[in-house]
Amino acid sequence: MGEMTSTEIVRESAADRTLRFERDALAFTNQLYAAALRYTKNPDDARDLVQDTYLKAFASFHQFEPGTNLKAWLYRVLTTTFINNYRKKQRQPMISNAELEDWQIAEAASHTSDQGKSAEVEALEKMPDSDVKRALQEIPEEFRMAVYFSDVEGFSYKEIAEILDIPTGTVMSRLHRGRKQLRALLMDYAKDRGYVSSVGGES
Amino acid sequence: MSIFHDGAIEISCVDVLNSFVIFFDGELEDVASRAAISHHLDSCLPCRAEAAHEEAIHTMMRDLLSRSCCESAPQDLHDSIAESLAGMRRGAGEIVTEFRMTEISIQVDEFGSIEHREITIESTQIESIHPEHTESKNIDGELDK
Repeated sequence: MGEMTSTEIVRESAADRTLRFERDALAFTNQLYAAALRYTKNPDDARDLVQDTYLKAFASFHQFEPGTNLKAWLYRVLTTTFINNYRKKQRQPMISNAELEDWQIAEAASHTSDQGKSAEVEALEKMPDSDVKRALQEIPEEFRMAVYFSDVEGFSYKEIAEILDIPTGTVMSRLHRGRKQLRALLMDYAKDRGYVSSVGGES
Repeated sequence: MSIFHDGAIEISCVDVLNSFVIFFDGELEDVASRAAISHHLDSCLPCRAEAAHEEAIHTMMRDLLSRSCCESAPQDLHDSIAESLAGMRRGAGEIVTEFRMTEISIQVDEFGSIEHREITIESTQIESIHPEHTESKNIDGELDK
């Protein structure tokens, strides 16, 4: 059996780790880019954000626990990179968590009319991609990303909570509000563009 | 609040309507709550209609969003990430720090005799480079071969 000095072990595992990173993490470039576009709202910043995310992820890859969700981990790195490097310059108003609590109590849900329901289905059926993207851009970042991670990426509440570093209850309230705002915006577009003749019954 | 014969708790329309968000995400883990909602939907026609609508919209929104938000990263981004990583892989090696110090002391005592002393300390330190530090200290080229 050959002898191995401690430095050789360190060097070998560093090289292996690099290869493992290249093999596993680079598979998510397209998905990270799409998410980065949701965060930054423009292709140039999204590009830089993804590049920075990969460099940061690579530098801290030794902290990643093999066998856990690499994709969620990369999204966590993307999110912290965005917060540290980009959010400051974007100057976006933040929503306080206090504002989001207890939505289930504050929110008065009610039944809607059949007419309102079919109008909504009709509007969504005619909705072009460009309007969906625009609506998503218009809602606040916190809501937008919760909706994106749930509805596009299919992450569980728990995973979203970890990616965004917020409690699960906050994920729920952001999703609830985000989806609601998104639907309302899409209905506004639909009315403006005449995808639906009349929308009534929403109480 | 009352409890039905099968053990399900009676809940209001508002509670049922508010729970759709977690119900359709498959995140409602509490069996009692699920039973309560199912029970309510069995007996409340407006809520049943609402549930069917919400489920349909939930699916439509998910499809719409997935269809609209699937931009691919430009090829030059793929290339530049691969390039940066390859650069770091080449740089991933070790820093060899060699340290050598000679202390010379010359002492002249009261009788005029000179004492000359030299002490040399040598140390070699080898540490693996953390990838983020490689830009300025790229020493080891062995890994390329």
